[in-house]
Order: sequence, then structure tokens, then C-alpha cells
Amino acid sequence: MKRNWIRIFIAILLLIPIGFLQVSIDYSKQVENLESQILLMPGQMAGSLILSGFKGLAADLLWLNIENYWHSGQHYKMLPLLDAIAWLQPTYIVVWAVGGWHMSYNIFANVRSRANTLDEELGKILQEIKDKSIKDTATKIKDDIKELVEGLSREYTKTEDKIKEYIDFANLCYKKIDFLKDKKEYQKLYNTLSDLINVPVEMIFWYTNGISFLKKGITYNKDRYDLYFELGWTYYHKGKDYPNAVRYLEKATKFPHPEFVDDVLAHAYEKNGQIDMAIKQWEKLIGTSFESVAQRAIHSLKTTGKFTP
Amino acid sequence: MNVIEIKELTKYYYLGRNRIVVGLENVSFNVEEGEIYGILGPNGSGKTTCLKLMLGILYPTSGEISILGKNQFDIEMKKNVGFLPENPYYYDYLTGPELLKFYGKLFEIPEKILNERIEKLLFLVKLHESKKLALRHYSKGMLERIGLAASLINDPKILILDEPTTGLDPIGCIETRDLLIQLRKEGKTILLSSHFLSEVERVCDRIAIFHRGYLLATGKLNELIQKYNAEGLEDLFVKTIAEFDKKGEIQ
Amino acid sequence: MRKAWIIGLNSFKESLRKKTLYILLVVAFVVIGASKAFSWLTAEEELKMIKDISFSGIEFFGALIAIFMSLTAISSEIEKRTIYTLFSKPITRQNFFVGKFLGIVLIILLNFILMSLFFTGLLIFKKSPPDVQVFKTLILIFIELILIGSITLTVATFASDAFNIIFSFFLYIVGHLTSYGNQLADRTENVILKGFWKLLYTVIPNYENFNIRDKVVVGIDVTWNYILKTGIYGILYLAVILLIGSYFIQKREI
Repeated sequence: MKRNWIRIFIAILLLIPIGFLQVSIDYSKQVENLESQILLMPGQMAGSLILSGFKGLAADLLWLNIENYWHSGQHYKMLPLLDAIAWLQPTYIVVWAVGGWHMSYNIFANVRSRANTLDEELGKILQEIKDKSIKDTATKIKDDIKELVEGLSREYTKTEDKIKEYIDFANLCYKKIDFLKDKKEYQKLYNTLSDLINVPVEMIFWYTNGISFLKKGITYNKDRYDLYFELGWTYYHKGKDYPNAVRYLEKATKFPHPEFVDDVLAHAYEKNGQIDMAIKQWEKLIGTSFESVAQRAIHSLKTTGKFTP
Repeated sequence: MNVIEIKELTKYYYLGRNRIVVGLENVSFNVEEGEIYGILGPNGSGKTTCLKLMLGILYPTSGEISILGKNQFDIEMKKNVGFLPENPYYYDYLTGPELLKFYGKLFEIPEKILNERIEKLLFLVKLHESKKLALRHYSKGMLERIGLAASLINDPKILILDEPTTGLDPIGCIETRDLLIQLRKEGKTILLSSHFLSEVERVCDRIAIFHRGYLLATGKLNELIQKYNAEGLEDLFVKTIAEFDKKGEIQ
Repeated sequence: MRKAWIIGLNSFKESLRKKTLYILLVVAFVVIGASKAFSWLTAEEELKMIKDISFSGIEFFGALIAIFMSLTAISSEIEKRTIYTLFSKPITRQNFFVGKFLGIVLIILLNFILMSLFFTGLLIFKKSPPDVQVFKTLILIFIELILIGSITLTVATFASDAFNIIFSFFLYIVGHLTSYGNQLADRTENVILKGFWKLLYTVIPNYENFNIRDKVVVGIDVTWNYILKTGIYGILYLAVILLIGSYFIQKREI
């Protein structure tokens, strides 16, 4: 009984090694990437406060809704959800990768398919237009926009400068049909044309959103190849923006990565006009599963300066 | 020879705002080996407080307790003490034998001896037929009896019983009384508290009367009756308490 | 120690009879089992779902079980007055307290094993047997549950059930947020406030140390070094808790 106070004394003393151990644990958390980067966004702290240890679970449950929105075509609703999931569990690579893919590819394609329907509709409306100058203007815009949409889906580069050009062009088209806005008899024509002009604008919107989303993902996952590769691939394949593609694919190769990353980088170098770099990159792939492709590529590049179709 | 010595035992309960409640005030008495000593008093007189202090459940404000020459916290001393609490309640999912075994293990009694003793005790308290019944199905009387068996599991030299006949029917009371007398014959010392005066009259060698934490009187029953000019224990009881209430003096 | 073990075993058997335990366990199984229902997701997503739900379920329900079983471990003995009979036996108060602690460890362990086996079974069923990272996550969850239970037990040595349950839940939440307090401390200029946050950070149990599940499910490997450090933290903290509990059980008048 008399020595009961010793228990409390020892308990307090033990807090000292506990304190030191906690410092060591915190350091390990940083080094092993176990720390939650909570204070990067003020809003994240609120989410963490509410959910404490169950963020991953909440992220999963929100992810289920993404699938729903995708299948029911409610694409815009996916955006805040993707943000929320990435908010909750920023190290969940799949969310960033799939989210970026949904935006730059799937929704992009979905929006693009609207152009065909609108094109057909416009065809029917134009048949009934009697005023020749209006009909000609409308037909020209329709054809130009259709060409832009086709181009964006295929080979048109989507660098920052080019995107500005496309948007400026669309704005010009809007201006050209502005005079139709107040004419009752041409309302249908005006509305359908506006919708059509909006198609490439929206396509560009989703493409750039996908890019931004992946870039945001990178800020939380700086030390992994995954999202650098996803971004590099999107620039390369979708955006035909080869300088940016090379930039990000090079970053991806700085971390442990699978061989196909090197393969894509080699192609990107070539497309970006860096033939020597492309050859050097292919040479790195000798002795890997890409060896036969690499040998052909090196031969082709050295003789014709071209390999990638 | 005294097996229990209580010297100037005091227990105050400190409640908030400088309020002090007297649990026991300067209580001194001894219990001799082989006797049955009864502690009487109305409810709240300090009987249970005294017993709890003796078992180390409460800490005294001042005073000394000596049981078999050791203080109340001594583990070796407790091996020779058996206790039956007031209104005993046990782990209701256990059966009688399981309860006895649990307590028996705490005394580090060898298994063979423990099993034999459990059998013997169940017969003694007439619970042998209810061996397989869980305690939650026991009546109050049965609980008292299993409690008594539990207090004897270690074959103690001293038995401390707090209100052992509460809840027992008349036959139960008689049987308990007979058992206590038998145990005294075996050389055990028994300290019991009760407010059943008839019980105490029949069984106890010496008594102590408590009231409001004070020890009013102690000694052999017939000597006390003479001293106070009482007609019997009941009268003695009433007289000592009335005198205390009037004067507030300790005898 | 033997006497503590006898008391602990008795306490464990008594806990097995509490209905609360079975209700919580059934709910836990239902929740963990429900994670299998997301079969329309890709295999990788479904696996992540199963792991997220199961780890969280084991931790959350394990904590609830730890708190509820520990809550009445001592108070029920006092209410039923079985404690008087116990203390009249040749046992010390420390035997009693350690015994109660052992009883709680046993009940937490049993529940933890049951839930973990169920979870492991699910993973095997999904043709993705648990790897060493899953095992590491479970070890840390178990240590966390023991800490949670022992804190409730210690508070029971000096406070009422009502206070204890509120305090235990409050500490469970705060214990998960304490590392954010530390980040706040790092950003504050005020020396006194900094010192205060740092002290609080050390004293309050940091349950987030034991939370590696968010990272393990996304494929981040946790080293044995980290597990060892956190394990030692858990043991030291447990020692602090038990010492405090021993102090109060010794002091307490019943």
C-alpha cells in the first residue's frame, strides 16, 4: 500500500520512452509512405476527422456509385465523386487511373457520338431552309465542326496551343450563328447548331479534365511510376501531344516500372522527332521481352528514320 | 488465546463539503479461540463495516486489526479464514461444485483433496442433489447454504459470517445454528453478525452491541444482562441503545 | 500469477454468457460477409472491397466488443458483491486486476480469431489467399484492441460505467485523430501551445500507429521494422495503462 505511488511514478516514467518511440514511428511512417497527407487540402482534414480509420471503406462505397453514373450516362455527376474518392484515399492509384481514363477516353467518345445524331438532325432541318445564305452558312459550320470532331477523335494534336485554336474556332462559329438566336422561325436550326458546336468544346473539356485529374493524382503519388505513365500515355495516344508525352513517360521510367513503359517512351521519342533518343531507348529493351520489337525498331529507325505507324 | 484483536478501530467516510460520516468510532474487542462471537446492531450500526475492515476490503482511518497474529492484508492469514457475505450472490452460470472448485483453486488446495472436500461439503449443506443445477436457479436459502459451503472450502480456523440466516426459513435457521455449534466443537472460531436476537441468544458465547458506529457493550450475554438489569437480550439491546441515544456515551 | 489466471479464466467464461457479445459478433459477420456481394466489380476492386470492409469491421466491432466486455468486468463484481467473497480469499488486489485483464485478453482474442478466420476464408474463396501484409495488418489490429480493452478496464477501477463508456468512445475517436494534432503542433509558432499539443500527442494513445490497412489494401508494403516498433509501443503503453489500473484498484474502497 505504502509503495502504491511507485506504480504511477513508473507509469509516468514510461511515457518518456513512449514519446521517443512515437517519434521513431512517425519517421518510419514518412519513409515507408504510410503517412496520411492530411493537411494538403483543408477539406481532407474534415473528412478525416469524421471518418478517422474508415476512409478506405468510404472510398469503396463511393466507387460503387461511379459505376452507376457511368452506366446511366450521368457523366458530370461522376466528377465530384471521383474527387471525393481521391480525397479520401489519395494513394489508391486505380481511382486516379480509371477516373482519368473515363474522362479522356470514354466520356470523350460518348460526347463525340452525339455529333452523328446532331449531324443527321441538321441535315433534315437544312432541307427545309429556304433562305440560301443562311442555309450555306449553316451547312459550312456543320461541315467544319464535323471535320473538327473527326479530327479530335483521330489525329488532331491536343497541345495547349492547338486546344486554344479549336476553342477559338468554336467561339467564332457561335458568333456566326448568333444572329439566328432571336429569329423565331430559325430557333430549331439555332439550337441544333449550337449543340453541334458544343460537341468539340465538350470533347476538349473532358480530355483536359482527364489530364488535370491525373496530374492531381501524381501530386499524391509522386514516387510511383503508375500515374506518370497513365498521363504520358494519354498525352501520347489521345492528345497526340508528344512533347508532354515524352516528359511524363521519362518521369515514369525514373521509378521501378514494367517494360512496356520503356516501349511506349521509345515510340513517343520517335513521334516527338527525337530519333536518336528513340534508338537509345529501344537499345535499353534488348535482352527484355521486347527484344524482337526493339531490334526491328532500331533497324527501321536507322535506315528510314521511321518505325511507329 | 485471542485469534482476533481489534484495537481502537476507526473508519470515517469523507463525503464532499467537509461532511464526515462515522462508519466506526474507536472500536476495540477480542475474539477468543474456539468461541462463537456475535456482533449485534440495527441496520447501519457498523457491523458490516467492521467485517469489511477485517477482510481488507475497506481501509481503516486508524486503529489496528490482528487476525491470527497477522494484519488484515496478509495472504497467509487469509488461507485460514472463511467468509460468508450478506445476501450472497455468485457467478450464476456456475453450478455448486464449480463454484466451490473455483474458490478452492484460489486456496491452492490440491485437486484430490479439493474434490473430496467438495463432496463432503455438499452433503453437509444438503445440496448434493442439486449438484448439476446452475446457481441462477438456486433459491435464496440454497444460495446461503452454498455460500456457507464456500466459506468452509479451505477448512478455515476462523469463520466470519455476515447475517448467515437472512432469507432462511425456520428449519434452515435451525440447521445453520446446529452446524455452527458443530463447527465450534471442531475447534473453529466463529464471528458472526446478525440482527436476529434469538439466533444470537442461542448460539453465541460472547456478543458485542454496535450502534451508529460505536461499540456499546461487549462480553458474555448473562454478564451483560445482569449489568444492565435487563430481562433478556432484547431488553439489553433496547436499553443499551436508549442509553447511548440519551447520553451519547461509550461503555 | 496462477491465481490471476484462475480469475481470468472465470471472467472469460462469464463473458461468453453475455448476449451483447453474440449480437456484436453476428453483426460483424454480416458486415464482413456483405463484402462478398460486390461481384459486379472487377476482381481487383472486389478484393479491395473485401479487405477494406473486413479490416474495418474487425477493428470497429473488435473495439466495441473490447469496450463492452471490459466495461462491466469490475463493476459487475462490485454490484453483485462477488468481489467481497473474492477479496476474502488469499488473493491480492493485483491478482484480481491482472486476472480481469487476462479475462479480457482471452475474450478479445477469441472474437478476433473468429472474425479473422472468417475474413481469411473469404479471401481464400476469392482465390486470393492472405499474404504477409494482411497478417501484419491483423497483428496491429489485435494489439490496438487489447489497448482499447485495457483502457476501459483501467477506467473501470475508479469511474462509473456511464463515465467509462463515454470516455472510452471519446478516446477511441480522439486516439485516431491524435496524429493530426501533432501536425498542428508542428505548424504552430506559439511555444506553449506547441508543448501542449506535443504532450497530448504523447499521452493520448495513438491508434493510428496501428492503422496500416489503408495502405496495405492499395499495395504498399509495410516493413517488419515498423511492425516491431509499433508492437513495442503497444506493449509499453499497455504497461502504463495497467500500472495506472493497479494503482487505482489498490487504492479503491469498495
